[in-house]
Amino acid sequence: MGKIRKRKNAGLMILSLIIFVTLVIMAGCQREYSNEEEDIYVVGVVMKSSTSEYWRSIRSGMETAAKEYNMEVVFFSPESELSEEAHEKMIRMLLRSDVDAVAVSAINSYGLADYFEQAEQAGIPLISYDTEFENETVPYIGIDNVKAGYELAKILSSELDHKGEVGIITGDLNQAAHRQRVEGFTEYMNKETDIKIAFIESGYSNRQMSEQVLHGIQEEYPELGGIMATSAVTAVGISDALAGEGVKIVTVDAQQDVFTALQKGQITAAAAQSGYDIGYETIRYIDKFRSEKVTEQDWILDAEVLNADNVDAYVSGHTRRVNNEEHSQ
Amino acid sequence: MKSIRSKILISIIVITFITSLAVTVVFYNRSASMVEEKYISIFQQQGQQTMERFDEAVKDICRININASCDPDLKDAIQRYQMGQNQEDLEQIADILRIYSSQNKSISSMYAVISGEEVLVTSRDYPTYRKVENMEAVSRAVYEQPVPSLNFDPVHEEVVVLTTVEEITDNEGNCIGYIRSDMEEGLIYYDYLAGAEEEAVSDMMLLNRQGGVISSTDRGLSGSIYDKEKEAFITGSDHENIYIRSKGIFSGCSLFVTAKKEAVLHDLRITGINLLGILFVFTVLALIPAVFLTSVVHRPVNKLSQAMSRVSNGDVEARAEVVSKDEIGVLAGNFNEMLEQIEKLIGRVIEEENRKKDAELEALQYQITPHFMYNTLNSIKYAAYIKGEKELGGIIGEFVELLQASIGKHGTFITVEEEIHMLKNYIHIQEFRYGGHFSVIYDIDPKISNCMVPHLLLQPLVENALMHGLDMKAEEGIITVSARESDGKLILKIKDNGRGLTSEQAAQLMNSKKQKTERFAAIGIPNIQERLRLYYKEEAELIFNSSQQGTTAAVSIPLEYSGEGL
Repeated sequence: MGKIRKRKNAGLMILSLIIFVTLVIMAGCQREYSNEEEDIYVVGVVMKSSTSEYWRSIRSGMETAAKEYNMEVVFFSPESELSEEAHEKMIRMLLRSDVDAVAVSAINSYGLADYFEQAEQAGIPLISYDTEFENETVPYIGIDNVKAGYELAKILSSELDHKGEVGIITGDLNQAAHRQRVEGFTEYMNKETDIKIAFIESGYSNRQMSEQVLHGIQEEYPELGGIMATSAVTAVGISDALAGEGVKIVTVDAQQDVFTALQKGQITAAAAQSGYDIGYETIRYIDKFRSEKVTEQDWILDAEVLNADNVDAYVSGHTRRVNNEEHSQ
Repeated sequence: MKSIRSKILISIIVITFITSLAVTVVFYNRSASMVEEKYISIFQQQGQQTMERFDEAVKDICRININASCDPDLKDAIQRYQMGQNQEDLEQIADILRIYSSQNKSISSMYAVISGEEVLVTSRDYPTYRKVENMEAVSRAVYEQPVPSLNFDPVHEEVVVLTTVEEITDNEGNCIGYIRSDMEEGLIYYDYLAGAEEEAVSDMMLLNRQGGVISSTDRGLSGSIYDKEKEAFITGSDHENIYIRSKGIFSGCSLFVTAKKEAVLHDLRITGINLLGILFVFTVLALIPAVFLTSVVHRPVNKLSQAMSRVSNGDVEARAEVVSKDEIGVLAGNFNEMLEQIEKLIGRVIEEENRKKDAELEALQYQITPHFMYNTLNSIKYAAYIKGEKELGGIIGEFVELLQASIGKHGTFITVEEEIHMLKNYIHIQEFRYGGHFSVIYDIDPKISNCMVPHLLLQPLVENALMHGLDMKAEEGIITVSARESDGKLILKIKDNGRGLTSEQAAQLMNSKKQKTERFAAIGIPNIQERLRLYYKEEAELIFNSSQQGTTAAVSIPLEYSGEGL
């Protein structure tokens, strides 16, 4: 009898346990949860303009990187590259608005911008991309513009058998990128060749030279063998205008119309400055910076010199990313 | 008795119910979770989209404001006014403001403040400009705050606006004024909040970076500071509500949406109630197969139980009906087999007993055959007569008659007359043996002398009287043998005038089966009683009456005349 009673008791206990568990599950299904608010890291980016493919690709690179590194990017750009005032005001506004970092492509690399102080006071890191500042304390992410100019000069000179006349059409010389390209180009031409630099026209950043002015130049310099245009937009325009006239053109920037011109032979060489890569690397730099792992002040990206022979390989083989091995820091 | 049937039935119902209930509840809760998550995700998406739109608008307005602040015509006009206080310049400034403010419809108005003059130019149609005190200081203060800041409209001071301010500088970088773009709370509400309202949403609020209320469903809150400590700042849910927070990246403004869980889960609740209803219906329906199932199990058990009861009540031939092929069926089958075995066992035992009896009987028959005995005794009797011993011969003859009566197969019943004759023989022999003499009185009603009595009925009683009652040597003993009819019964009495029986002796007499071997036949009083019972059941009686004067043994049996069937 005792055994049977024990079994009965055990059975009752198990049954009541099951009921209890069921009730608990029923009651315990109170769906309460919460997400802690994440702190979003906001990067304010001021560009020089937003109209060309190059700038759009910078933006695209930045946006992609921002997703990967868990940041948000806000973009501001003035109406044109000439609006220095608006450009500066945008920087100041971002600094006032307490963003977490500011990335700037300088319109005036050489002025005494006092927003550096403002940034320091606010504790907001300021970095430059595409065009550097003369101020050494500001990090720079972009290509070595001096070297680019230098390499382009080499190629142009070899095309012209190291003699003859060339001209430079450049952007705003207040911008370090353009000034440095001219520097590099001039250095090579003057030191290593007998080529004479006939003229330097400036102010053509992201802007096309009018046909009128171009023909004026042609008339004035009939012996012109080659031109370096420091901005691709300008270069493409010139190459269209001078097509077939035997003037060799070299430029900087990797955009689709440049590739086409290279393939057609209308442009002799171009230093491939990939906007996407620059944008991407800028954000990656900021990410490293915020976790205090930056070892180098500046990140210099490669600018492969393209010509008709290697442009196809570049276009098809070039992933839209800079090789990570080169810049893993 | 708690039936196994009710136990099984209750178990089935309980298990079905609990299982269904658990499934229902778990399912409902999972569904509710899913619905909630979906809703939260939808609200979040909506909130995100709204705030992205809002952020874009704020960014664009900042950009427009900055561009306006760099406008050379604007600068000229301001500087001219500072020189000449010419109203036309103010008109021109207003025109410029209108052009810029029309670039984004979210700008409700733009204002220009001219340094050193207490004048405010507007983009509105009315007023175009007015005198306002202290505008410069206010503008400077707003300028230094993060963008956008919460303020009041300079013209209609009760209206809450979201503001961005820029400096206007001359070519040397000196500040000559401020330009300001405002987003009116009302427009913000209708552009961004009103569209997101739906039934489930109970509350919406747009806060700026510092927790000031820009706009909300409770219109009175605009402009005030919201209590930052409330838990509504997290995206999540509690028992009653769902809370969604979406933040604008650039503007730093946050949209808080509160939705009542009730409303969100309304449809699901109804479904839940329906589910419960279905649950109950199915539990009740489950009764039908449950009952069927129960009886399938119960029936064979019941049959077996009944069969066992019948057997225990004495019906040895009862068998259990085998109605199922399961363990119960096996049990019933085995039970039946067991009963068969028992029956066989009983049969064997009976057979055994019978064989024992036959053996005993056979043993008995190894004794001297009666015929031999009679012949030998008769020879002795004749020899006695020849020798002239008449008395001796007579005794031997009477003895032979007595033997014949007891051993012979004459039948169980003889007439009263024949029984009395045997009695006389017996008494003679006893007199001869003990040498005593006692008187015997015969009082036999001749009418009933033809009635049937079992043979050797009275002899043991007389023997009894002789052994216990009389002192035989005394020659004073009297035995009275009477046979009479009374009330349809035959009454036979043996009376003696001896010592009488004590109650102990009487009891011993009535009960003991083993008699003294001195007796004539191995039968005694108990035997008489048994035989009476056997032949007559309740209609015969043997009664002893005893006192110091003597003992009377009376037998009453039904009256049966010879020739009538017995």
